[in-house]
Amino acid sequence: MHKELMRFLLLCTALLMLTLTIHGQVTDSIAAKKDYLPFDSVIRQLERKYNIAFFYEPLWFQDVTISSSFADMPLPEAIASIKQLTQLSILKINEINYVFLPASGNDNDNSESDGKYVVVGDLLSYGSKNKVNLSALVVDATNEMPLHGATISFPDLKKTVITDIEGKISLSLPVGVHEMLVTFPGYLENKKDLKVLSDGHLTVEMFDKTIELSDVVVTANKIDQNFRRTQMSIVKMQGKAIRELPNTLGEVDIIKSLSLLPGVTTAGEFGSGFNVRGGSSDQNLVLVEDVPVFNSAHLFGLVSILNADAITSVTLYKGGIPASFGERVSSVLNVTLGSEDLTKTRVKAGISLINSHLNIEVPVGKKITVMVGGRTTYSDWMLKKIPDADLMNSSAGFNDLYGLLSFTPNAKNKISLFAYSSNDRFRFAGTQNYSYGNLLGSLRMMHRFTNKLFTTLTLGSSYYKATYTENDTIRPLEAYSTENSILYRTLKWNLIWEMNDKHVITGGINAFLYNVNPGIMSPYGKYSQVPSLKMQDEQGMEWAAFLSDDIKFSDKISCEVGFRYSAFDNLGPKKVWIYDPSQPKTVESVIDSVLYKKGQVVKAFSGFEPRLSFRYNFSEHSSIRLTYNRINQYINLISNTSVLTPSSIWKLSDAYIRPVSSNQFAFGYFRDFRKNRYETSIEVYYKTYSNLIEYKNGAHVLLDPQIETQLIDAVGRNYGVEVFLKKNTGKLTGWLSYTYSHSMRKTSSSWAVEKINNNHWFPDNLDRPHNLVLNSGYYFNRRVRLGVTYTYNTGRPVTLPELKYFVDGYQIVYYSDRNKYRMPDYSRLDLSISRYENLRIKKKWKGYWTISIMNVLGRKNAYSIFYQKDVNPNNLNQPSYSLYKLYIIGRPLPTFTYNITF
Amino acid sequence: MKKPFLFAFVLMILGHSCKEVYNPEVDLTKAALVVEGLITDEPGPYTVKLTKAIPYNLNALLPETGAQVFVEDEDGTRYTFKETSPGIYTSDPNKFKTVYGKAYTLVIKTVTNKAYRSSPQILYPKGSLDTIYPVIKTSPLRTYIGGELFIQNTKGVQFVGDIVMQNDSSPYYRFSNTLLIEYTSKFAKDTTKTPNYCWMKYIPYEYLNLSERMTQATRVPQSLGFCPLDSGYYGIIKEVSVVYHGGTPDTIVVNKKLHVNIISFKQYHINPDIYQYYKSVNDQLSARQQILDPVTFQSIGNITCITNPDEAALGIFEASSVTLYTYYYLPDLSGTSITFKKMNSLDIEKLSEPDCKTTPPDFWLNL
Repeated sequence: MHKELMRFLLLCTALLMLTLTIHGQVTDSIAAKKDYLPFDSVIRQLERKYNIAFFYEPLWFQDVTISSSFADMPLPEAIASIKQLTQLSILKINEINYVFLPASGNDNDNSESDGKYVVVGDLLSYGSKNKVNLSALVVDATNEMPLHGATISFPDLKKTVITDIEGKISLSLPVGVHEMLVTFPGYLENKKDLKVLSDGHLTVEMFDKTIELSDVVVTANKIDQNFRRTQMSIVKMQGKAIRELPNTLGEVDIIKSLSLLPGVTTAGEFGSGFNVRGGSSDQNLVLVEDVPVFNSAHLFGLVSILNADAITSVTLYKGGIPASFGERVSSVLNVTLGSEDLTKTRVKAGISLINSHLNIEVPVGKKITVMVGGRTTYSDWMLKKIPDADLMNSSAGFNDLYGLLSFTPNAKNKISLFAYSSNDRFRFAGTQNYSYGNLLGSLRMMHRFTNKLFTTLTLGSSYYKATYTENDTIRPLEAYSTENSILYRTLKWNLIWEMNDKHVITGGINAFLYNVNPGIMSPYGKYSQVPSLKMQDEQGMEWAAFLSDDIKFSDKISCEVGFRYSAFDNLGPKKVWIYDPSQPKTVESVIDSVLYKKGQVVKAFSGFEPRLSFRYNFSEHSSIRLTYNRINQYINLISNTSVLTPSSIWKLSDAYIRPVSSNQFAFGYFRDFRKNRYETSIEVYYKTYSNLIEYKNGAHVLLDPQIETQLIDAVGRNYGVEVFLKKNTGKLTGWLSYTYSHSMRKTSSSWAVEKINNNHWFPDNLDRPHNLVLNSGYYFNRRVRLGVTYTYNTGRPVTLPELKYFVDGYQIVYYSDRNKYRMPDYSRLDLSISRYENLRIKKKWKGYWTISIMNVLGRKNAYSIFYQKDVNPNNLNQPSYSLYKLYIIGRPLPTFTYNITF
Repeated sequence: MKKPFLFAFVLMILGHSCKEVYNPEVDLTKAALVVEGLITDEPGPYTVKLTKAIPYNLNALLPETGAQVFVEDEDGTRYTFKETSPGIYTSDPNKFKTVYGKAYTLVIKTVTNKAYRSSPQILYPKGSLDTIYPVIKTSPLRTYIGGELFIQNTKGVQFVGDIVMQNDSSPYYRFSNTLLIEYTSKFAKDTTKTPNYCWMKYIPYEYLNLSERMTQATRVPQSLGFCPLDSGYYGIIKEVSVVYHGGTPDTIVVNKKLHVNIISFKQYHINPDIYQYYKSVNDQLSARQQILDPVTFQSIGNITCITNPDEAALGIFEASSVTLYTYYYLPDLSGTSITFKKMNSLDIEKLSEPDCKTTPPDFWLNL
């Protein structure tokens, strides 16, 4: 603490001295001038005259006056004069924005600035070659962390390269002067004029938006890469773009934020997972460090399991999914954690009224980095304050803990070890307990054979378990507990060969093992008379091989062609019931059963999964893209509610449940305006599904040993158009998106009990035709940012009772066709205001607080519609029915969080 | 399971969630015919009851009057049902006598010229319960007091019958069981009066009682219902204070004494589609509140509107054979055993509602 204080004082002193020095120089040099004005005033004149903006620390130029003649000079001359006068460097961010920075050098590179150009190489070697090799390292200017995926382009050469995992590139350039443009999401664009003399190295420092003082970029797609990537329907976020996402309960929530992008929705404030282009939550492959997460939510969906502080990058593939991914038919969300090349310890922490989070990254020597972190809640104290006997005897909370160790023995090898554990617990009125948790682990080994040939090997495991106990002391005979779980193990081997400028070939083999415990019910307590019940465990093995080639035909045309072949075996031991084919599958229509031994193949499936992405660039600022992919999914989540809950069970494809198969076609037009200041896109998609799981009326899916009798085979078609407009720079940034879409389902059985809506097409539970999102941020000044998020959705489909009648004295309700009606439309406005306490580049710590208000309008958005049977004391067989609307956040919900990084 | 409450609880943590009554704009103009038709192997007349379904939030009974109703056998012979009271259509017992093995179809034509047909219903031969036996046990019993559900462990007698496997394609049964409690009652202050001969009925099953899945076994035990042993459960207690209101307040002590319990078991041999229908009805009746909009419990009967197949037609037409078994039982004083004996058939369902007479009724069992 004392050290921090000393550093702070030292910094203040240094700053003061710098200011005094500037002041002295300026006053000396202009002493002879008669017409001089305050520094700020002259700068503002220049800004107005040339329609540009300067950014600097006002303290540096406090009480400084300079000649008004600067304002009359041509811009380059004015800038050069001011640089010379102030002895500060001026960073040209783009054509509009200039930033004053203290002059600094870099010892590692052999580049230097001659005032106009950045010179690379040795002058003595100049002329010995026509072409030279340039290597470059792109780093975050604040912490020197390499930036993986940064784009370096040379417009005059029509060359573009992307930095590797270590933030490096290497390429061959002709000797001479070239314009170089470096971009990275969440960071300022860095444009330099290079004078390349000979082989050399260059370090490019990228400044995030806090340095820009008034500009902020919230990017979903990498600027400019919008046109350079062959694939489409991809959302990628890194670095600052993640940190600037909207807050949920005081912290950035990746999954909630993704749902603000076109084509991505959630069921509401509550419920696990997210939905991509009308697909169900279980159709998303959520990968954290290459292993899937089977429940990505804390507190039943109020918070996602990922601490944003630990995340390096998030990539969501909505379509055009590369051949290296499979397993789930709707999307892939790939999350990577930790810094790749950490040089100093970094700590991030946050605290709010109900939870806290901490993330620490520590370099151990030059070859090892360690990241550990976690979150925990302490909301029980609030429950104790609520004057309700049940709530006072209740508790709720979650915690997660994770660690990532990276070992880089040499430039060619890297090993990382990842572990994650999470637990959620609920206890209601002292009688009902619910808990669930994830346990993830992976070991990844990366090896570089040559500069153009890489391989990765991943061993991973993911375990998910949910338990529920009911122990009512009034009814000890009925006390019971249930549990279900899934264990997933994987082995992945990938090979990437950057053959030349025109081909990047990727291939690999994946293997996955599944062990599913669909459910166990046990008596709870010594008085319980509940019989024990155990469903048959399920085992399965999936493997896949893939090969793809990213082909660049020309600067205008490129495509990626890929093939994936996947196969799945449902394995014994297992008892398979045989049903009378002349009847619908019911418990009563069983005619026989077959026993399979351990390891014996119960049912095998396989299929080709072709992938294709095509891009045509009309210009540097507009392109069209076309993608197609087919994916097979051999595991499904079974739930008889339209909202996924932790009690839903995972189910492997088997003798009766065939793998879901999906084909998706997507077409998009992309265009940037005003040098990427505005980014627009329109995407159209059409998806078909086969072997979807639908549920019979009144299906019971928990602890049913013959679950196939509750399910119906269905086909589906999802289609929609997504319009996206984003402003990347300026005081006001953000995006506006609108999606029109439909998700329809259809059964085709000839049996009445297996028909839904008489085999007509009907809207899926996730069918929400209209989706409008406005997400924006406005910087009042460099420290204070206002965030505004507005969401509008058509209400979800719902089945409602229409009629009632009597049979044998019992009152029966007749429901409408499946999903005939809709809940009321969803509309929500959230506001947040953040104040950043410290923006200096070299500052050791940065803190900011955020006050956010969810649902400012206090709208009672329906989360679900349900009926309640009220007992009629006069006739127990004739209860009265009432419909209720459940809403989650019915009035404005404020939160306050303080976050700190050092 | 109370998971819904758990979810609600998570929301309550925030103190911002709630539920409120929701009145959606549901299509209340929708009309649907409701059919309750039953023919058996017993002598007629048989009845078909036609009503109209009403909006779910209303209470009314709307008979479908003026319809043409007849049952058609597989030979094409039609048996007309005449409307004997509003919405009640009755067969002529002299003309319509059912035959085992024949398939019957209900045909309806309403005054609005809508035509309906049931699926063909085969009249299967009588089913058979080989043995019916009582088992004394303690079982959780649901009771509603003041609209609140209470579950308490109650000592009682569980009746079990062994279903004998039939050689036909429909091993499906439903059971309709009724307990007749005969007791005597007299005023304590007036010992000169003769005891009143009273009776009451009790249905020892919460919902529709359907057979379990038949297996390869030749006999399958079937639960036939659970009756509490303590006569106090039925209100048969020795002393009851009765307060008369309206006149001079007075308290009269009534002594009630259990005479005997008579229970009849009816076994209906039904068609597979009827079985599935009743099962779906049970599912809906036993469904509990779920806040996360679950898959609904729809009951699909065997009636189709042939003039408009997309129009809902509700209810069922059932053809079944009926086997009646009647037993009486008396618990001993200790409540650890009972006397359980078969007696002459008595269709308790057809007896009049609870009453008291000064002389023993015809069905009074003289032990």
